[in-house]
Amino acid sequence: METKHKVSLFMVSLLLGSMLTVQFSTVHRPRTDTNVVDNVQLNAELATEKDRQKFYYSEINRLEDQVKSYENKQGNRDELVKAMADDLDKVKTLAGVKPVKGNGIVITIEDSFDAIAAGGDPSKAASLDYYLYQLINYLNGNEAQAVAVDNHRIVSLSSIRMISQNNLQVNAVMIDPKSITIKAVGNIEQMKIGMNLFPQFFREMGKDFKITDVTNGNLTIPAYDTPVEFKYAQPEGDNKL
Amino acid sequence: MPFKTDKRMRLTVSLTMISVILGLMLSMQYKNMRVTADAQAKLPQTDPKAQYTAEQLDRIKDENKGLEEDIEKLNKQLHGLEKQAGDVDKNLAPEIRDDLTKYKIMAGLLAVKGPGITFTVDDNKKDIPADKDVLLYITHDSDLRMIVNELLIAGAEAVSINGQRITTTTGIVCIGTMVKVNNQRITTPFVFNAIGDPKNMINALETRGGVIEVLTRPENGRYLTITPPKQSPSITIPGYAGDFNGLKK
Repeated sequence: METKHKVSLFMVSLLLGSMLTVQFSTVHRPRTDTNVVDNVQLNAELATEKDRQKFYYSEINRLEDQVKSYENKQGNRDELVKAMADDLDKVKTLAGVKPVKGNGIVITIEDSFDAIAAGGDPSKAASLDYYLYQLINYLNGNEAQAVAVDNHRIVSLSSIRMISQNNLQVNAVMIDPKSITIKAVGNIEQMKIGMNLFPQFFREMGKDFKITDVTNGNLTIPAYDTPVEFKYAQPEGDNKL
Repeated sequence: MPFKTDKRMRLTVSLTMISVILGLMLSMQYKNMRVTADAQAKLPQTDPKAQYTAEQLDRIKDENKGLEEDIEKLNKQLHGLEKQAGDVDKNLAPEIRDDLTKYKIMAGLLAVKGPGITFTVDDNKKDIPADKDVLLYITHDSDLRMIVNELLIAGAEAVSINGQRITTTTGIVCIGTMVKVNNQRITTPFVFNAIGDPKNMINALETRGGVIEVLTRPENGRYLTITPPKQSPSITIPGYAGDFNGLKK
């Protein structure tokens, strides 16, 4: 073949090759279309909102009754004190400063020779705190009503922090990272679905992950027992707490 | 010379053949892609069932938002009555009144106000290079939870994301492409409000190796957009109206 032909053939191939590449890369780009709606997903969301609405209506009735009863009792000291004490009891449960008892699951996460032998790497446990608060997050996102890590109750102010390899803190109290027990009262099936991904994360750190069901109603989540004081946040409309 | 012509002919023929085949392939390829792309684009608009459900969903969501406001008003009214009871009757055990206020704030039932910070977390909206993982550019449930954890370590007393108060039982979880907080769908951008010592919280977020660096620096493998935390003398965080995963019956 003449050099001229070789060159022209080469040029044609080059041109076609680059055209093909351009073609593929432009058309094959992942579609970032957020408008794709899925009816199944929408129906699930609709069901959630309907449940929520039912709860809101009952909550409004309850609050209206409570307001009325407070107004009626303004002159009657004993009854008013009793009504407020009853309310305080309920509010304490919601804040996590009263124990909760019921059905649920117990999760144990322990250093394990088998998990290390299977390829788990204990040096990955540097991010143990990260996976623990994600785990609690996923329990709460899956219908947990009360959670405790080594008997430290998780509340709205709870944090988890790894200070050093042997110093893991829950609610600013040190716990032993080698063996951790998490108790959660709530919807057992749903919480277990939420835990699907987690055994693998902990095995990769050389830890064993076990879940035990408690169905006799006797799983007790202790109360948060650190004194609480709000220095910055005050009820909207109040001048002073 | 005849030999040469023959060779040239053969070359021309084969070149033509190759060009024809390649041309055909290209056009088929292109058409094929166009058809699938069009089908994908048309899908959402042509499902009337989904559209109907979506409309219903929008309506009930609006209604629920109104009910949430009613609940917040009633909670405020109740709080006012409790305070009033304590003011009128000095013998009324003051600790009951104060504990009620304290634990209502802690549970997340009462709307609160105070000094704090605000900032916004968003996906990276720039074009994502073809060789990079899209997941590194979008905000995950775990990112939001990480930020909440850091704020609480720094002493935050109340936190909200897009108006959703962080309570005793709050979960921040992704279901498919949705982020749900308190079982309510929220979308980008994610606006954080936190009440507490503003300097402490800003330092915790902005410190070297802190959460903002971890989530926004390419050398850490993440590319989120986070606005610098702004200090404010008065941040308002709404109360939570929900059922605490069924704990409140």
